[in-house]
Amino acid sequence: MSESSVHTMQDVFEQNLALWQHTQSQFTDWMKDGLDTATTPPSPDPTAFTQTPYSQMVGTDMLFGADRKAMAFMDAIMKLAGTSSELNGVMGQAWVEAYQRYSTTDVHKDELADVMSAVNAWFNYANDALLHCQRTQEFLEAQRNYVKASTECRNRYRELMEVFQEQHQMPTRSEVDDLSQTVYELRKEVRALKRQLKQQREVPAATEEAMDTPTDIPDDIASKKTGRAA
Amino acid sequence: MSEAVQTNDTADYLGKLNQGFTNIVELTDDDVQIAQTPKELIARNDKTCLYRYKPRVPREIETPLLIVYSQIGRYTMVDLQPDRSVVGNLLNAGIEVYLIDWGEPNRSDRWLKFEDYIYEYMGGFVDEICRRHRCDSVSLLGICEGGVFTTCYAATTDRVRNLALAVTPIDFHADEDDFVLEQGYLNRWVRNLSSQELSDLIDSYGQMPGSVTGMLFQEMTPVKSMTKYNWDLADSLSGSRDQVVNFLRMEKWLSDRPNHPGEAAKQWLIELYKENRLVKGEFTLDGELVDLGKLDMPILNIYSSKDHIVPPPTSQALKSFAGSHDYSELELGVGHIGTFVSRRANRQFTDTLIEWLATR
Repeated sequence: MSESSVHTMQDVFEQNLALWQHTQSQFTDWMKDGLDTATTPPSPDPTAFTQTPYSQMVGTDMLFGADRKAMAFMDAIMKLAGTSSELNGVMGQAWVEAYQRYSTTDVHKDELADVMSAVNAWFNYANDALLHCQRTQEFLEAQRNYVKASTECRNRYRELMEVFQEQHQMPTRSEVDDLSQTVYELRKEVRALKRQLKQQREVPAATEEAMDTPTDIPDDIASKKTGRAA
Repeated sequence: MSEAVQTNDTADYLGKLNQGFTNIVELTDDDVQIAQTPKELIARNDKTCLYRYKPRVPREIETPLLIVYSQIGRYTMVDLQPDRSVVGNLLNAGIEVYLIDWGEPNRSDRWLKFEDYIYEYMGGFVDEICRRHRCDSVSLLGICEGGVFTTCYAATTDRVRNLALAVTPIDFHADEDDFVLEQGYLNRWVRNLSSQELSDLIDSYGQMPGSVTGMLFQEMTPVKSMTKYNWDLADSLSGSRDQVVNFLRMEKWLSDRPNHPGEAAKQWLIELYKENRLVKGEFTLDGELVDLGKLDMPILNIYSSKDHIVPPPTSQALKSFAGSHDYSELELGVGHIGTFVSRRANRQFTDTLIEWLATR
């Protein structure tokens, strides 16, 4: 493949990438704008105040709050799609660079001696480019945004689901987490109490035993560097 | 490349694929068993279990050995296939082998911390082993995160006679000064996020799901992960029956990735990977400082030069921090998992460990 055609391919790829990212961004804005600018129905009273956007209305807990939580979830999905696109774009650039190297100056003839070698060489170039890409600031920034957006998305989804669960007398995840924390802490307390009781029982017995056989050391009592309770 | 070469190569590749399909249809799930060395359940505490492997020969080494695997993968790695089993090799040498299985944590275990795993579960099992053998200390073999558990336990109790570690990170930032393209992805991934972002991430799941850690591992070898089940599959499945079964054993292990309890995951990722508290002397368990200088027992530190999960410098750092005068190292020329299953490394690993234990 000639160098000019590689450049052309790269240009086209970059244009498509920019277009895709622009589309994602516009879609996000459109979704957000659509919800933000949606207004209350027109009032029959012409002297009434101007229509109020839903997003600015006093929270009336319509649909038990599900509407606002659905909006927040939708917003989070849009952000996730945008950051995913950003991350794919950075990785896509690495693929282009790998292809550029593979198809031009760097390839040795022996790497193209047969089909297997040629394909494996291509994978090596791609792997190398992707590993280098993973170390770039651009990648790290995109990855961080993606992780944050995915966390946000899961949290908004949980909040939305909890509206449904509460309305249907189902335990929510937050409630189950609270419960498991209580059980965890109770178990710790029970164990600590059991140890205390065991020690209290063992101390008189060990004292009596020590009077008879002073060199015997019970083998189930740990000798701790820190004095931690056994 | 001539047309004849291309035709031949294509024919070869299709031939391999055909052989691979033939191999795979002749195998059943029963043929792909892992962790088959006989063992008995000794104790259970919540979801964690203590197993004792059935001895094969009279005991040669008095002090029992407890193997502590990480919570990121399953313990079955040390007994993946009969001819390359770490456990099997140790049993053949007359060592009394115990092992902890951390079980299958889920969101209900999200509050468990390092303290619980180290003192309540592992410490309790060490006490049980000591009671059974009428001894006051054991030898520990800690692997990866399990190595950090055993290190912390050894530094804060007198229950450890010998401490062997395999592919264990100690200085979690030591990769920064040592550029190896394939290594340190996980270290960088963690450092790239703030402590709050990591905490939020774990809280959003209530744990660190096995699927997420599995995905992170796949990202370390991006193209290999992409071609594993398509282009590379012809090679993976077209070998001898033993080769194919071993490939499938590894796949079975990889797909069995447990969840990591949430609070313990925060300690692992934030306090250790991100903030590197262990070597800074700032890592505490139940409010008590873990002082690596108190590691005064014999230490054998095994690491692998091609380990893309735990970069060698992060393991080697132990030498500078441990207080032991009897410190030795073994470097293997393989990757993280190859340490246990590569034919040569597996032998070298266990031979060195057996000899080391026999003389201490």
